[in-house]
Amino acid sequence: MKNKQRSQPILAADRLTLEYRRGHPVVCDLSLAVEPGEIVALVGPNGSGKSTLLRALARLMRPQRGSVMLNGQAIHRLNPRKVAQQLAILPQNPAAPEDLTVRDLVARGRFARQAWWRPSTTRDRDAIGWALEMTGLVDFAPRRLSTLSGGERQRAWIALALAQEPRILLLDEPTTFLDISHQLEVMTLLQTLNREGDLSIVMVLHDLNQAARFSHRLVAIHTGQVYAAGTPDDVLTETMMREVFQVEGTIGRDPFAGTPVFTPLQSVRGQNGSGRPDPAPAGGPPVEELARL
Amino acid sequence: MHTPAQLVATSSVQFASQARWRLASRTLVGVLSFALLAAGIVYSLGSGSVNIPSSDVIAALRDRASVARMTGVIVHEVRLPRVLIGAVVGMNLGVAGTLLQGVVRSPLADPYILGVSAGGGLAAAITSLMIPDFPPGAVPLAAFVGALIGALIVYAIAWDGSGVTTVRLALAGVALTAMLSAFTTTVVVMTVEVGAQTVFQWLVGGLYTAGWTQYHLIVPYAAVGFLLAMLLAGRANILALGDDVAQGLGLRVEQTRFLMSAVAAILAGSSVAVAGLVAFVGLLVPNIARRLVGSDFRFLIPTSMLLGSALMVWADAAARVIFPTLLGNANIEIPVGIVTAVVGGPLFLWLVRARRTQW
Repeated sequence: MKNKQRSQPILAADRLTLEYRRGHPVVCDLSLAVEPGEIVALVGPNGSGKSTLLRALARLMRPQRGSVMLNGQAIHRLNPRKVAQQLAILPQNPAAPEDLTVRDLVARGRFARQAWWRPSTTRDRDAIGWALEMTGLVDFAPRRLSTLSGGERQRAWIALALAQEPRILLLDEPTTFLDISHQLEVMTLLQTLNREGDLSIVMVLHDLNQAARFSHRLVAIHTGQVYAAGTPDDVLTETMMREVFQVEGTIGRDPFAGTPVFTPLQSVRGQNGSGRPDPAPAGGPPVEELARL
Repeated sequence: MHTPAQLVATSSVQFASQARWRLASRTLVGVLSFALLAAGIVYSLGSGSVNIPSSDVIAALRDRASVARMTGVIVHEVRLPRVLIGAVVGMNLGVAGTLLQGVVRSPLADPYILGVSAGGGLAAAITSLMIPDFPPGAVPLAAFVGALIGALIVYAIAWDGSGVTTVRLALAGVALTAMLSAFTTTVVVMTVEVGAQTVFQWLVGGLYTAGWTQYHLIVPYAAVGFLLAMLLAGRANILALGDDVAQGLGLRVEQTRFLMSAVAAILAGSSVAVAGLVAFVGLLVPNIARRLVGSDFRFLIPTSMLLGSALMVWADAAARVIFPTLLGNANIEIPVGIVTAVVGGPLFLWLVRARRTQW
């Protein structure tokens, strides 16, 4: 309490080093802060360490060095149940027993707030009902997960996380296996939860334009370090795309949200500028910079 | 079109009726399993070299003084302990299998496959046969420790730094079981003079020596094990959602795995100590139970308990009475482990074929 500031980050990584094998850091000396009420998207190419970072932020992985702070407290020293009351994580592609109904699944989100001798309270039922309502799944409550579409199933998993009544929600590629309408549905849901439920959100996204449209802040991860962090306009630039993703292209505007939109031209991975297809659009890549790669 | 209020109303009615239906079907499964167990107990108590009508068996159980002295002796002193031990062993193996399948999240786990039974068997064989002064009452305790060590060895071999894969676990379990069983055979063959039947009991599972002493030996372990299993049911349900989700929900994943394995070791170890290595019960029962009542451990554990007991009581009746009669020599007796393997093996193969074995 003594050093409580006006805006303490809800979740912060402090000089984090993460490795799966000794001496091979996937994330190296990385610092990051998430303010309350923010939507932050972690973007980066495959193997950049963004999913590993998300796992560490959700204490699914222990850092070799550095620490993750949840409301100013080291997350790995906190009681797992206490953490789960503040922070929820939706991993990529989760699986549940096939006979589970939506309501069964969502009810398990109350685990951290229940004691074994006192299984279910009114507050539990209210939280489950609220989670189902927010995700539009009230009518689906008695349905088995195996009978749901991909988008509905993803909403059910989000409802599971909401039933924890968290302050911050972490998601690993929540839209990757969905078609465009279900993607939009999930992203709009997250936006609503952020606005109405005052929920902070950190997510790994592959779709950069989606990330720019739905996030307050982007963090571009490159070889285990923060390459750039800031508003979508600050981060989603032609230079960043070339240096981090090794893709040439151009930035336009989303006609609805006014956020930056990246249109790719070609990959420059392992290339030295030859074999570039034409026509290059106006404001295309400077060829001399291409040659330096 | 429905108004939102109507939608909520229909869905809650639908939900309530669906929940009632599930509760009803689970209750029905419970009642039927219990009836199967009760019928098996009555049949088994009445059958053998002397046949007793079911009405007399029930009368003897209600009030021993109401039946002929000889009937009372046969029912209460000769057959009842053996039947009850069969029921308890079946319950232990069924619940142990359910827990272990939850630990590795695979329907192909059981105490026999994961080295739990073999570890318990070797510990029980060494303590009861090679150490003359070892108190018989402590043999199940030794078997529990052996079972736990067996499970930990298999787990350690299958561990690849971040988790265990089912294939590695099954391979490690099969190899360790073969090795430990060879040691057990050696110990038994070297030390036992009482006769081939007792030796056989150790190796394939049997209830020849079952009496009240053994019953009192195993019951405390069964009671404690079942109670702990039920207390772990909620955690097991969380673990079933996968390690990452479970950890995110606030579960201590590795601690939960260890506790579930330890409880399975209590149950399987004490069974091995009195009945030897009985195959297939721990594998088959949880799979049938899962099909009948679903994946929720709060229902799965009690159902496995009842089904395991019923299966084992009927298997022992078959070993003692039905098979020998069919074979035309009522005086021989087949080890119950043979019966469970002969009946359980094909049944399990059918289960695997009938529908994709899901988790």
